[in-house]
Amino acid sequence: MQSMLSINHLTVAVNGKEILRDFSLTINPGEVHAIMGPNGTGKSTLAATLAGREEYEVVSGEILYKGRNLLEMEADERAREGIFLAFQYPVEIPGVSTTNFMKAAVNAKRKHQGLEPLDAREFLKLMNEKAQLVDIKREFLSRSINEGFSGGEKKRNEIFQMAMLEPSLCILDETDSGLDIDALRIVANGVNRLRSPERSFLVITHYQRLLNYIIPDYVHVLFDGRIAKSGGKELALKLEAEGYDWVKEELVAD
Amino acid sequence: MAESDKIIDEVVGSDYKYGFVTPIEEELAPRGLSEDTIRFISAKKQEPEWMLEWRLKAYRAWLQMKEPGWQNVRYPKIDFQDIIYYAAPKKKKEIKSLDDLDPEIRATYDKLGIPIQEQKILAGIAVDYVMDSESVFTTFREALREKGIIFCSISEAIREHEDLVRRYLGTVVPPRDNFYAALNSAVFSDGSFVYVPKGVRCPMELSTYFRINAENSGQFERTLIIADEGSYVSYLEGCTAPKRDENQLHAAVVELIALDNAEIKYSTVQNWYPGDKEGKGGIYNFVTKRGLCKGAYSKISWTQVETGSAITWKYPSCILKGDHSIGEFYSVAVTNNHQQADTGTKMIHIGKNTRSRIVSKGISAGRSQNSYRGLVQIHATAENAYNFSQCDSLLIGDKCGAHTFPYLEIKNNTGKVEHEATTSKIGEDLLFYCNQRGLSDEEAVSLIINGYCKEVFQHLPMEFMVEAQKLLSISLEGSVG
Amino acid sequence: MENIATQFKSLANSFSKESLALRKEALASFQKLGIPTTRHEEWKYTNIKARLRQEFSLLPAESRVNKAVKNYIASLPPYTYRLTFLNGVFHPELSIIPDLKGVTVCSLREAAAHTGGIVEKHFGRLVDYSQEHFAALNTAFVTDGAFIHIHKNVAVNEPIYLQYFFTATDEYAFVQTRNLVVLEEGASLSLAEDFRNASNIDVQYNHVAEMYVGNNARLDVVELQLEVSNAIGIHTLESKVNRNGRLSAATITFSSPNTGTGQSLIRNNLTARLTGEGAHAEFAGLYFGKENALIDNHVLIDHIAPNCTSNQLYKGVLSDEATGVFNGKIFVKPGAQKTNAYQSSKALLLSKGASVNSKPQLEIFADDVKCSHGAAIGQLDENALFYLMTRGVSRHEATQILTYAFAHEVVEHIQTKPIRQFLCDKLRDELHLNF
Repeated sequence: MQSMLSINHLTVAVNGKEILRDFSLTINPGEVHAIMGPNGTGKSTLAATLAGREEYEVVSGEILYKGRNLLEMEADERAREGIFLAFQYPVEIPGVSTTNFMKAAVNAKRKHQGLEPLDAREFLKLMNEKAQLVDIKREFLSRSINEGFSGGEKKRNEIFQMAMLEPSLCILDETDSGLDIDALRIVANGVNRLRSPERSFLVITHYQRLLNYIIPDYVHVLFDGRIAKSGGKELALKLEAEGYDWVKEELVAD
Repeated sequence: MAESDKIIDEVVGSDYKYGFVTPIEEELAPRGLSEDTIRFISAKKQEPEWMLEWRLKAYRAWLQMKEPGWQNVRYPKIDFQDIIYYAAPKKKKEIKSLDDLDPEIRATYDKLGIPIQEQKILAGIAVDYVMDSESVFTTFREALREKGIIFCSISEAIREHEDLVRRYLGTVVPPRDNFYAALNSAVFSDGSFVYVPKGVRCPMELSTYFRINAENSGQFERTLIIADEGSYVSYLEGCTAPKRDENQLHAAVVELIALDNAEIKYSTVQNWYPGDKEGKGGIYNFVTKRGLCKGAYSKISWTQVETGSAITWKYPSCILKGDHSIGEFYSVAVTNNHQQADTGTKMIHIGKNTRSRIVSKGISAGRSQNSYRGLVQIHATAENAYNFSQCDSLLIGDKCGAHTFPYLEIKNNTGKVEHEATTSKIGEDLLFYCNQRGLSDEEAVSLIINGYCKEVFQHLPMEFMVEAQKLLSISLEGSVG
Repeated sequence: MENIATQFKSLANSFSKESLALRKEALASFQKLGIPTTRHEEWKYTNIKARLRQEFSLLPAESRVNKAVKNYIASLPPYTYRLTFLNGVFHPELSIIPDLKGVTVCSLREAAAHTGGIVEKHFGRLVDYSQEHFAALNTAFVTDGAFIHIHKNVAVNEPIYLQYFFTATDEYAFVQTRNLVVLEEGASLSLAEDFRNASNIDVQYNHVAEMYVGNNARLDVVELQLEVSNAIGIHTLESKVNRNGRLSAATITFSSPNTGTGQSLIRNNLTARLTGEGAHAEFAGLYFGKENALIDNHVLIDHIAPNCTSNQLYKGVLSDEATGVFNGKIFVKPGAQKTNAYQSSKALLLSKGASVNSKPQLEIFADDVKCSHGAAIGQLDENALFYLMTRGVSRHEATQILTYAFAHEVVEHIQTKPIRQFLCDKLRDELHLNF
C-alpha cells in the first residue's frame, strides 16, 4: 500500500534557525496521527511546511505525498492535490464572503481534476450539506471570511472549508486552542464525520483534551524538532497525567 | 473649563530658568557679514588655507540663494548684516585643567545644572562645553584617547585631524544644501568633532553643551561625528541661552556618518530661550541635521526633546544608503506662548532591506503653532524597505494650532510604509480617572503628558530622561486643564 | 497666454451678458496664474504642464453623435433621469429630464436665462478662481453644463445621471464643463457624474462642479471615471454643507491607457466646507491605474462650524508603471470645536514600476477635537495570500480576490444602490472574478 505521507529526515529552518531536525514520519490512508509536545518544539512549523509556506526553508530531507515529491509543489497546488491545513489562527479577510471564497476554491480544485465548475445551484446544495456538518448557519457564510468571528466560529469555519474541499490529508494545527467545551465538541464531531479509509489526519495539539473526541491511531511526542516518543492513544493520557518532563528525562537518559 | 484654563496657565506660564547673562569679557567679530568676516573667523581659528577657501565658496553660494519660505512659521525678515558672527569668551590663559577655566564660565555651567567637574566621571559622560562661538573645555579626553576615540572641538580637529575632517566635512550636508547650511558653512565657528575607530564601543556618553551668551550674536556651530566600521557612540547635546528682547539666530549643521555595522545615537535636549509670554525675543533655531548610514547594517538614531526657541525649524534626517541600515527618529516638540515649531524628519531609503521608524509627539499650548513635517522616500533601488511613522499632536487650549504634513514617496513595490497620526486634547475621562484617584489636574496632566511622551523619552540616556521630564513640566507649567 | 485672450474675445459674444464680468475676472486671474508647474505645492507630483497640450483650443468643438456614443447609450440600463453632454454641449434629444414638482433640471445655459437670480447667486461663489488655476480657466470659458435646483423638502427618489461624452476629433480641444447643484433646506438627491472618452484620440477636459447642501439636506454624489483612459481630465468639486446637512461624494477611477502614445492623467480636487453645525461630509475614492496612468486625488475637508463630522476613505491599486497621488487635508478652523474627522488612505503597489506619493495632512486650530489619519502603502498581506492558496486557489487568483476585497470597502460606502451594484459588478469584471 502506498503511504499517504512519508516524511524522511526533514530539517526545516526559519530565518536561518533550524526548528525541525531530522524529522521522520509516515502516515497511511485512513490513519489519524496526533502530534503533541510543549510549545516551541516545532509543531506549527511542521504544519506550515506541509502546507507550503515559503518562509519555511527545507534544509534537507524529503516529503512524499501519495508517492510524489511534495516540496516541488506550491501551496495552492498542494491544496488542489488534497492537502488541507486548518489554521491555528485563521486569517480575517474583509470584503470577501466565505461563500464566494469557497466557490473560487472548489472550482479551482475541480478544474485541476478536469471537472466542469459547479453552477450556482449545485454549489449551494453542496454548501448547505456541508454547513450542517459543523452546524454553521447560512447567513454566517455570507459574511466576510472570519471577520469579527469568535474563536469558536473561526475554527468551525475551518472545518466547514475542510468538508467543502474533501481533502485526502487533513492537518489540524492546534484546532482546539481557544475553544470552549461545546465548540470543541462541534468541531470534533465535524472532523469525525469526515473520517474515512481514504482520508488521513494529522492532529497537532498541545493538550490531550481534543483527543478524547478525535481518537487517534498513533500519538507522537515532538521534542526539540524531532519525534521523541511514539505510541498509541494511551500515550496521550499518560502525557495528560504526568506532563512532558518524563519524556525529556528519558531523552536525556538515552 | 475655567479651572483647567487656570492650570494650563500655571503650567505654561512658568519662567525660563536659564535666562541669565554671564558677565565675561567676550571677543567679538565686527557686526555684519562679508568675505572679511569669514577671513577674520578663519584666521582666529588658525585654519589651513583649504578651509578658508571652502568657507568662501560656501559664502559665495549663499549670496546666490534665497531664504526659504515654505515652512509653516512666520517671523520678520532677518537682517544678516545685523548679526555678530563670532563671539568668544576672552581666554585669560591657556586652559589645561579645570582650575584654569574662568570661574565665571564654571559658575555659568553650574547654574545651568551641568557642573564641569569630575563628578561627571561617575555619570560616565564626557562633555564639550561651547559658549557662543568657542569650545571652552572638553572633559575626559585622556580616557577616550586611550581607546583611540577623538573627541574635541571642530576647530581643533581642523588643525589636528585635518585628513578626517577634509574627507568627511560637507559630505552629508553639502554647503549648497540649503540657505542656512550655506550660511553655516561660511561662518561656523565651533562645535564638536567625534571619531570612533573601527570596532570600538565608546565607553561613555559624549556630550556637548551649547550656550549662547553674547548679545546680538548668532551661534553657528558645526558638528561632525564619524563612526568607523563596527563602532558605537552615543552623543548628547543640550542648549540654553540668556533672556534677551532681540531674536538671536542659531543655525547649526550636524553631520553623522556611520560605516559598516556602526551605530550612532544622537540625543538633543533643546532649551534655547523661547521668548517671553508676548512672543518678544527668543532664539531662531534653524538647524540642518543629517546622518548618512553609509555602510551595510549601520544605524543612526535621532532623539530630540524640543522645548525652547521662538522658532524651531529642523529635520534630523537619515540617508539609508547601506543595505540593511536602520534610521530612527524620536521626537517630542513642545510649544507654548508664541513659539512656533516646524520639525520632523526625512528617511531616505536607498539600500536594500532598509528600515526606519518615526515617532513624533507634538504638544501645543498657549498661542503657539506646532507642525510635524516629514518625508519618507523609498527609492526604486530599496527592495524590501519598511517605514513606520506615528505622529501625534496634543492641543492644550483653543488658541494654538497643531499641524501634520507627512510626505510619502514610494517607488518600489516591495516596500511597505505605514503612517498614523492623531490630534486631540487630553481626554476628560483620563483626567477624571486621575482626579478620582486623588491627583490634582496639574499632576494628572503632567502624568498623562509624560506617559504620552514615554515612547520618545525611553530612547534618551538616563540622565537626559530625567532632565527632559522636568523640562517638559516646566515648559507647560500653568497651561493645564 | 495671448492666445487665451484672443480665444476669449472670439467667444465673448456667445456668453451671457450677466456672466461677462465674472468671466473677465476669472480670465484675468488665469492669465496671472497660468498652468501650474511642479514647483507649485499642490501640483508637486503631477506635472500637468508637461502633459497638457499647451496650445489648447477653448472654442467649442463639434459635438456630433458618433457610433461609440450611440452604442454606449444603447447599452445603458434605462436610466430614469439623465442629462447628456457631448464635448460640453447639451443634447436634449439624448437626455431624459425629470418633470417633478419642486425640481428644476436643465442645462446651465437655459438656467441662466430662465431661473432668475439663482444661478447668479451661486455660480462661481464656491470655487476660488483667484487661486485655483483650472477653476479660473473653467469659469472664464465654460460653455455649458447641468443645473439642478431642488426646492425645500423635496426628495428626488431616482438618481440623476449627468453624462459627459468626449467625441472630439481635435486633440487640442480642451473642453470646459460645469455643474451647479443647489439643494434647499431638507431636500435630497442622488447624483452621478459620468465621464467617458468616446473618441479614438487622447482628449482633454476640465470639469468644475459647485454644490450647495442646505440645512438638513442630503446629497450623494458619485463621480464615475471608468472610461477615461487616454484622457487628461481635471475634476473639481467644491461644496458647502449647511446645518445638519449631509454630503457624500465618491470618485471611482479606472484608468489604463492603451500602450504606445496613449496617456492618462486624472486629477480630482474635492472640497467640502462644513459651514453649519452638525454638518457631515464623507469622501471616498477608489482608483485603479495601469500602464503609465497618473491618478491624483486632492481632498480637503474644511471644518468651519463646530460639531461637524467627516470621513475620508481612499484606496488605490497601481500596476505597471502607474502612479498614484493622494493629498488629503483635514482643516479645523478656530472655533470648530467638537470636530470629529477621520481620514484613511491606502495603496497597493502590484508591480515593479508602480509608485505612490501620498501626503495626508492635518491642520488643526481648535483643541476639543478628534482628528486622525492613517496611510498605508504596500502589498497584499502574505498571510492572507497563503491562506487562500492553502484552499487551492492559485496565487494569481488569490491576488485578484484580495484586491477585490481591498477595493470593495470603498464601493460599500456608495449610498446609491443601483450605482453600488453596478460598481460591484464592474469590479468583478475588472478582476476576472466570477463569484
